[in-house]
Formats: sequence, C-alpha cells, structure tokens
Amino acid sequence: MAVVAVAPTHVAAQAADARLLALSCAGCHGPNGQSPGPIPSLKGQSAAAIAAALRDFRAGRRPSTVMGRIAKGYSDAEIEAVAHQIAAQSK
Amino acid sequence: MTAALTRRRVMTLTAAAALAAPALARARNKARVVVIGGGFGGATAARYLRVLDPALSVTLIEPAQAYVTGPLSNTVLAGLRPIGDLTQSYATLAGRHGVEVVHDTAVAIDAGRRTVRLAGGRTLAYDRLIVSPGIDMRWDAISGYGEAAARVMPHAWAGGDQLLLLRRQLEAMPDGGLFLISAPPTPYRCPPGPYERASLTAHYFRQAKPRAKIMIMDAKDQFSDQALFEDGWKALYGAMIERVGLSDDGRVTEAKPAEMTVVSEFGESHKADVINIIPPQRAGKIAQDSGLANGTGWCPVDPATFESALAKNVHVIGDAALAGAMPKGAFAANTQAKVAALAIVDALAGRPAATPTYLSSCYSLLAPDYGISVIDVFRATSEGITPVPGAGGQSPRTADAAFRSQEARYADGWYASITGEIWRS
Repeated sequence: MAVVAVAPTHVAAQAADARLLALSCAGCHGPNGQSPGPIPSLKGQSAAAIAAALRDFRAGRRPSTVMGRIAKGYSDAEIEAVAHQIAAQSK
Repeated sequence: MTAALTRRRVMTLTAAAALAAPALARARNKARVVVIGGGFGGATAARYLRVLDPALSVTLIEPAQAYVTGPLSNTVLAGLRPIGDLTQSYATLAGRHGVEVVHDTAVAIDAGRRTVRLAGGRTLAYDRLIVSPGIDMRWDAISGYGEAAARVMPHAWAGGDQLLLLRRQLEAMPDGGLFLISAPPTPYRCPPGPYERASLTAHYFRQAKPRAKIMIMDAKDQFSDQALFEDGWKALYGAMIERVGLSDDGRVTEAKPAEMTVVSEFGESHKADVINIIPPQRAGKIAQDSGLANGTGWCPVDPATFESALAKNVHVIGDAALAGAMPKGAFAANTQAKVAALAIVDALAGRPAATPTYLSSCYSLLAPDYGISVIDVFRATSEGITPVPGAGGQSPRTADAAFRSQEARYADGWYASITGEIWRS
C-alpha cells in the first residue's frame, strides 16, 4: 500500500469498489463526469486535480455547499481510486 | 490501493463495452435479468446492467409509457414548473442501451421457477430479478381514506394525475382558505417531502392568496431537517404555516371527504378548503403479493447486494427495501440500483461481490431561491447499512442567503443530472 490513510474522520475497514465510488459521483455530476445542469462537470480534469479537490473539501480548506460533507465519508485510498476512475472514464 | 489495481479496474469498466461483449456472449449463454419497476431504482438498474455487461439480456417491466417523478413534484403544485418537466421517457434505455422495455404490470413472481407473470399474460424467465416497485398506500390505515376518497382529498404522492388534481384544487381555493396536509408516520417515501410541499405551497399562496393558511397535521413528533424548515418558514412566510405534531394530536385517523373534514386521534374534527392526505405506506404491491415483504410491510435485503433475505436470486431496491438508515428517496434508489447491478453482473460471472458504498443527496426547496440539503454516506457493515461517522449531515443552520440560493440552484442541477443519467444518456 503506497498511500497511508490519514483521514480526519472515519476510515473504512475495507476500501469501497472504485467503480461504485465513481458511480456515486455520477448521480450529481452526470455519467462520465458530464453534468447537463448547474452542477460542475468533472470531465477533462486530471486524477491529481480531482483528488486534491476532494482532500481540500474534506479538510475544509475549500468552501462548498455539499462536497465537504460528502468527502468526509471517504479514505485517502478511496479518494485516489475514485479520482483515477473518473479521470479515466471522462477523458 | 496500488496503481496496478486501479489501472486494472479502469480497464475493466472502460473496455468492457467496446471489447468484451462478443467474447462474453460466446463464453456462456446470454444471462437474463428482469427488472420490475421503471422509477429511479429500476431504470438505473436496467441501464447499468447493460453498461456493466453488454452481453446481458435485460427486460424492464413498467406499466407507464412515461414516468412522472416524485422529485420536483412540489414545484408543479406551486405553479413553478409544468408537469412535462418531470416526465421521463424510456426511449433512450430501449434505443441506446438495448433494454427491452415492456409496458405491462408484473402480477406474480415464482422465485422457485424463476419466472415473472405479467397482467397481459406473458411469463418471463430470469436468472436474476430486480424488484423496484416503489410504495403502495396503506389504504386501511386511515378510516374512510381509500382510492375513492383520494379523488377528493388527493395524496399527490405518486403519479401525475394525483399531482395535477391537487394543483387544480389549490388554484381554485379562495384567498383566506385553509390547506391541510396530513403527514405520515416514518418510514415513508421522501422524508422532507411534506415540509417542502408546505413551503412551496406557501410561496404560491404568498403571491396568489396572501391570506391563506397551511396546517400540517403530523403523525410524528420530529421530522427531517426540522430546524432548517422551521427557521425558513419563519423567515419566509411568517405565521402562514402551522404544524401540529403527534403529541399535540396531529395524527389523522379518519377522513370524511363529503364534509371536507379529517378527525384526529383524540376525536377532534378539522375542516379545510383543500385537504392533502399523505397516507402511511408500505412496499409496492408486487412485493407484498410475492412474499418479499416481512411483517413491517417492507422488504429485508442483504446490505451489500440488496438480494432479498426471503427469496434467492431476487434483489429488492428503492423505497420498497429495508435499507437500514438510508432514507427512502430517489438518490437512495439510484445508488442501491448501482450496487445491485454490479452485484448481479459479478455473481453471474462467478466473481466475488465488490465492496459497496452508498451515497444519498437529498435537496429540498423552501422557496425557488432557498434550498437545503441532507447528505448521507453509508457502508454495509455487520450492523446493516450504517452512516459513516463524521460524514454527511444537513446544511448549516447559520448559512447565509447566498448559500441557500446556491443550494436551490444545485437542487435543479441534481434533478437535471440524475434524470439525465438514468433516462437521457
């Protein structure tokens, strides 16, 4: 394991499946990261940018309406996994 | 998570659609999955079964030619949107995703033989079945409130006809009139829904009938996002909305449509100009008739796969399922459908089940530019489906007008995204 989990809150005993993590995002951000409405699209963002944004939301460094509350539910490993999954799907 | 594993998983998902279909079809007989119900749960499941394994044969059974969503329905009551904005078509699921959409009603499930019988006479065989029937009203719960009474005192909690009936009644109500909402006991579809309904109706009255009043008779003491709603009502609508909780005799036990009156638990009569009774609920009819529901009226399931605890190879998702702490709502049904679809694809391919994760975002509008949200992140644990400690929660009580306005925009955005994902992409 290359990533050490330092989530400030809860770290799941077992990381959730990366595909299911990415599908969780699709409900609001659209399938393949393309949102048809006012919610920001993820399409075209790099894995590093998505992971950094999630970590910033989780730590409260980046203001948000819902993303701070959402990001607190995931470990570092899950944030890395979902960021790679979304970046690969929405190129 | 190692980089190699991540890459492999990415390959699995992105390459499957393009490359694997012919090979899989040759490798085994085409497995058949039948999905009952074309709402947020069933339609999501049908779509992702085909996306995750294009070799599957997927049949979706839904009586309605077009689906009118529960989310946003209160904006129709308030005259903010036409019902066409809430109406979803099955054309993309059929045309782009190759889902066989059958407009019929499932009337019987034989879990031993693995067949579903339809009202039209057809019998369909399946390898796996997904049951996503939504809710059924408990017509026996409030004395005098059956389907005939609902044509006078609409529930407006499912389907377009009931919604439009209540809208017409609200439009015809005189200024200075009383609109009474009877809110059900927990659990029921869309926990904040009755309170959003009161809010947006108040917004409409504010413009059209400023002397009107709204009374919520509630069969419970506490409700979803209570402090946020009560703060908002005071700020936006003054004293227009009054709520009577269970302990203050809020539970409606009898309806008298001929007198436009309801009777509460302690025997008091309440007359109103328009009465909306949202009755107690249970899992949809097919779940009751086929033995998928237990004594609670809802369907027990495995928290990691949503396979029924009462029937093998049958998965129950959405409002009908007993999903631990998850609220009954569109986003929950959507996230459960994805987990169940992947569990079925993996099981049919002989792979172990993936570790699930569940997310639910639930927006409510108190006014067109005033939104609030509840977020829940859930895991399957030995205790069932439980919230991740420290995550999720409600919008802050101290948020400013800009925050509320942004959440209202995101409520619209959420609707555009999730219905786009399911029915238009």
